[in-house]
Parts: sequence; C-alpha cells; structure tokens
Amino acid sequence: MNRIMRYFTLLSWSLLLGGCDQLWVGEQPADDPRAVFETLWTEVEGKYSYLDYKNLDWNRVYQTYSPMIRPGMNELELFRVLEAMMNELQDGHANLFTPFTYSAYRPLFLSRPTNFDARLVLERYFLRDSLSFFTTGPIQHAILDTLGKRIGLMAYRDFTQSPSEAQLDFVMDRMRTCDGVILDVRANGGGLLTNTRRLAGRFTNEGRKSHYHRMKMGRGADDFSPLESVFTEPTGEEEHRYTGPVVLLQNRGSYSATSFLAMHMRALPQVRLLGDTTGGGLGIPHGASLPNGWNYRFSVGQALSAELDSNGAYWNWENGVPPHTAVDLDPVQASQGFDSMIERAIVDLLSR
Amino acid sequence: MNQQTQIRTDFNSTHSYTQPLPMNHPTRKEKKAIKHQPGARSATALLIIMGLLLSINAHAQSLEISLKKPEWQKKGANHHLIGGWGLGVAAYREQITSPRIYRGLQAEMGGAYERHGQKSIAAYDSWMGMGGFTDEAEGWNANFSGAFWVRSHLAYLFRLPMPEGRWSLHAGPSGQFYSMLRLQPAHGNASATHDFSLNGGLRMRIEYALPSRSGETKRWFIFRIRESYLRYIRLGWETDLGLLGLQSRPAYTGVPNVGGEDAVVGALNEWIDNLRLAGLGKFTYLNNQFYLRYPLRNGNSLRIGLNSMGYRWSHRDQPVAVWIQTLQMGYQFRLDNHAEIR
Repeated sequence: MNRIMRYFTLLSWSLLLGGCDQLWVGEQPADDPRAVFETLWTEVEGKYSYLDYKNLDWNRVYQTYSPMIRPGMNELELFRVLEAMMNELQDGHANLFTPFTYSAYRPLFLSRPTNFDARLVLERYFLRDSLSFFTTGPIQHAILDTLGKRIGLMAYRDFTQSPSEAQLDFVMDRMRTCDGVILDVRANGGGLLTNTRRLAGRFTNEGRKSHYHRMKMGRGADDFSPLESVFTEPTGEEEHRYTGPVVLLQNRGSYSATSFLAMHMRALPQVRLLGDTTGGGLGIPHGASLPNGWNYRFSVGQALSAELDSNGAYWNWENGVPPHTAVDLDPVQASQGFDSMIERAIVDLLSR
Repeated sequence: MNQQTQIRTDFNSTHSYTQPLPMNHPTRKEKKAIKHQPGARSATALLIIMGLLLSINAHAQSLEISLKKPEWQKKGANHHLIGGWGLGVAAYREQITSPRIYRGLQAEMGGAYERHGQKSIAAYDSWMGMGGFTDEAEGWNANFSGAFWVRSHLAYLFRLPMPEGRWSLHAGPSGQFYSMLRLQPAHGNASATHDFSLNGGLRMRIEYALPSRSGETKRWFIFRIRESYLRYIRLGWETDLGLLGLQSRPAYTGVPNVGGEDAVVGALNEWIDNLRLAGLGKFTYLNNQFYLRYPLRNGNSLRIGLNSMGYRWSHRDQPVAVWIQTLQMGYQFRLDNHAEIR
C-alpha cells in the first residue's frame, strides 16, 4: 500500500508542479524587437478596418519601418519606430500603450482651430444667471433668456460618464420649457456609445435610421460583417423628451462616440449640426497586446452614413461628421465675451 | 445468532466492507485480574444480569434478522453526493488579444452526483472556478487578467471485465460543457473574451481497491475492546475526452458589434455566428483526474483528487488554449444503505 501511495503522491505532485501546461498552451513567444514589430504590422494588416478607405499601402509601410528594427535596440527606440508606424494610420483610435508613454495621432485635432473656450462658456453663458445653472450628473445646463425666448443650453463633455435616467429626465424636463435647445458637445472626446443613444433618443418620438455599422471579420480587405442598420430610437418616457428645434455644437475635439452622437442627431429633422467637422473616429477600436506586453489598439469597425453621396454610395465619415453650418469660434468676439458658435446657434433657433 | 460478522476476505462479495470483527473476550489473565479487584463480586453479579438481558435481546434480534436481511446486505445501487473545493494553477493563451501566455492561481468549487449500479455508473459533476493571471511580461510591461469558468460533465459508464478482482474498469459516453470568461482590462473594447464548448465524448474510469485494515478501541464496562475493520481505499484514474461538439469563440477582432443597434443582441448574434461544429483533431477537450477515496466508518468518504482540464480550439487561425489543474478535496456522502458496489 505504501508503495502505491508513494507513486500516487509522486505522480500527483509532478503533474501539479511540472510544466504540464506547456503541453496545452505552449511557450511564451519571443519578445525581441523584431517579433514585436512583426506582430504589430501583421495585426494591422489583418484587422485594421480603414486600410482601403485611407488608401494605405501597408506593404510600403513595412518596407519603410522594418529596416529600422535592429537587435538590441532599447525600448524607447523601439517605441518611436512603432509609434511612427501607427501614426501612418492617421487615426485617433490607433494608439500604442507602454508603461512610460503612449502614442496618439495628434494632427487630427491640432490641424484645426480649437473652436472651444470652456471658461468663456461657463462665465458668459452658464453663469449669466447662476440660479438657472445646474450640473446634473455629467451634464451642465442652463436656460438663457434671449429676446424673450427661452434657449436651453446643455453641455455634455464626457461620454464615459453616464447620467441616470432620473437625471436625464430632470434635464429634459427643463429643456421642454424652452423654445430651442443648444446641445454643446465640443471637446467631448467620446466614451460609451450607449450614452449617445440614450441622449439622442431624448430628442425624438419615432425611430429614424441613423447609420450603418459593420465589423472586420477576417484578414481580407473586404472581410466585413454585413451592414447593420442603426436607428435613433426614442428613449425615456415621452413626457421627458424634447422634440423642438435643436442645434448640436461640435468641433474637431468631438471624437469617437461624439461623432456617433452627431450621426444620430443628424438623422432627426429638427436638429442642425453647427461648428466644425467632428474629429471622426467612427471605427470601433479593439485592444490587444504585443509579445513584449505592450498594448495597442486601432479601428476594427466602420460606420457609414445613412445619407448617400452624389454617386449613390454611403458616406464614410471616419474623418469627421460634417456640420450643416460651418462656424469657427471668432477670437475677437471671444475676447469681448461672446462665443460666436453659441451666438450663431441662438440665431439659428430664433429664426426657426 | 450474533449479528457481528467476521472480517470479509472475499473481494467479489457485495457485503459491506466496514463490518466489525467479533468482540475480543477477556483473556484468562484478565479474568483473574478482575476477580481480585475490589467489588468484583458485585460486578460479576451485574454481568450475569446484563448477560441475561443481552441474550434475550439478541434472541429477539436474531428472530427479526431471520425474517429480514439487514439493510446493508441488500442489493441495489449506491448513490453518492460529492461536494468539494480545490486550489490550483491555470494557464491560457488567447491569441485574439495576445500572443502571450497568462499564468496564475485559481480556486474551484463544485459538486457531483454518482449512481453506482452493478453494471454501470451514471455520473454528473459541475465545477466553477476563478483565477488571477499575469502574462509574465518583463518588469512593468506585465499585464493582468481575471477569469471565471464553469465545466460540467455527464457520463454513463459500463462496467468492463477485468481479470483481477481488485481492479474495476468502466467506460462509456459522456457529455461535456465548458465555458470561460476572461477579463483583460488593458484591452479596451476587447477586454472580455470567452470560450464555449459543448461536446459529446468518451469517458473511462479505472479504479483499484486497496484493502486497509483499521482498528478502533472501545470500552465495554471495564474491558478495552479492539474492533477491527477492513476498508477499501479507492485509487482511480478517470479521463474524459471530447469527440464532437459545438465551439464558440469571440469575434475575429475580439470586439462584439457594439456599434450595432443593440449591443446585447449584437453580441448574442455574433456568438451564434461564431458557433462551429468541430470534431476531435480540430478541437481538443480533455478532463483528466487522479483520485483517492478514503471510506469512513459511516459509509461516507473523504476524497482527494488531482484534476487537469485542457482545451484547445482554433477559429479563423486565432487559437485559444486553456489548461486548468486543481488539487481537489471533497466529501462523498453515501445516500443509501445498500451493499457497497465495487
């Protein structure tokens, strides 16, 4: 008996402690600079959703950056090469994350005026009548009395923050008393898509087709899932919705989920988009790791407008949802205490 | 007729394995010692009275036994309910989101039910577990992850002939279910990946009954009585192999179609889209266990096992591989009074 028990114990512990997992999961991959570079390049080639749209020759990119990879290069050198390669995608959703820094394609925002002055909006509009100003969850809102008309001003700057339904009800109940509403989403870098749907749905009583969506499904350039129709559907109770005239204020900093909001709002007939083209970012990004543990992401989905271009094709607004009315922030007026974009929105609402 | 029985030595018998030996009567020396103890006379008188009472009682019982077999001698299936927990190690490689292997520690808990008949065994078990993992990248580049899983098995095993009496071999069809949810916060929209596997396969169980004599000392009046028991410690190996089943993996990019109309419906549709029927060779599911069952006098058992589960499946050239190993400890309840079936 003792002998059997001894064998059994020995076998058990050897299985427990021995490298049995290698039979199933294999060994850790090589994590040298060449392996890291090859993995990132291959992943982009097989999964990035805008290579065709952006007319990017990814093989040329390989030829450009591959010679820069050499054995023994340090992490900082490797990062700079990979950062440059990622920025070839010209995509705000294309990032490389390391413990010491991360890469981002900044020309997306820096190539256009900011078109937003947070202090100007706070001081000259929200606090014009401080008793009218509320911050309900992530939404700032006030009612401006303009030429005897009540204009509601809402600002939602971060879609990662979610208001409760009761908070949305409270905000919309106030907006329902207004003759027009300005929804300011300038400098909103995005967040949860669910928040954009919840918000847009408060401005309609009927569903309207907003856009189409599809995801990358395979390595081939055209390996996408079938186009799926996406609608702007009513949300909340009808008595907590506003269906009067609305102006959506946007700038280049309105990115990712905020561009989705712009598409949702564009589908509503009483809504006008005003300001600059949004930053785009309509490709849902994924997330993954490289062999050395660094993380990265890039776009793996596509959203196409429900509107058609002159060729009868759907618009691809990855580079930004255009406004109905293009307006920049006038620095002269700003210095005088006026946000020219809000002023133009008020004129638009009063004229309707 | 005394209801105490002799030690059972025939291994093919279906009698209980924990019946006590006959009582060891005091030796002559002990009797002499008792006689010379103070109050021995009154003790002797008491013994005689007790003896009379016992003989009447034994006679009554023997009448009953002659009409009805004791419960433990009846033939019938054995029913076992097992509860347990375990600690162990695990590893996985999810190539949709990382080429690196995540390794870590894990804990499991679960239960099982088994019906042992003369010619077959029906068995069901279900375990759920969770673990913490690291991808073992160098220094501060390391990433962390958590995972939750559940695995269940259902089997009907037939007894196969074995040449030697102490060995038993069972084999038969089995059903296997396994699903794992992995959370890797660093991967943004692809931070949750999963496996799903529902298979039909084969299970084999081989068991060795190791006889072990145990004793227990009891006092009977002034006597110390040694009761001896023969129990069979079971050493077993069981392996469950998936042959054909439905497998599902996350989307190609690891991101469900969250941009679609309804994220939940989209994710569900995608899960169905990614469901594939696969046979052995395309996927591998193997659950392997070494166990030791130590019977207690009350018919229940203590159980210790080393369980290893391995799973591999590749969809769109992005394989996943999972390995979970657990040192399990459990308690096995006997739900019947039938004779032990081996």
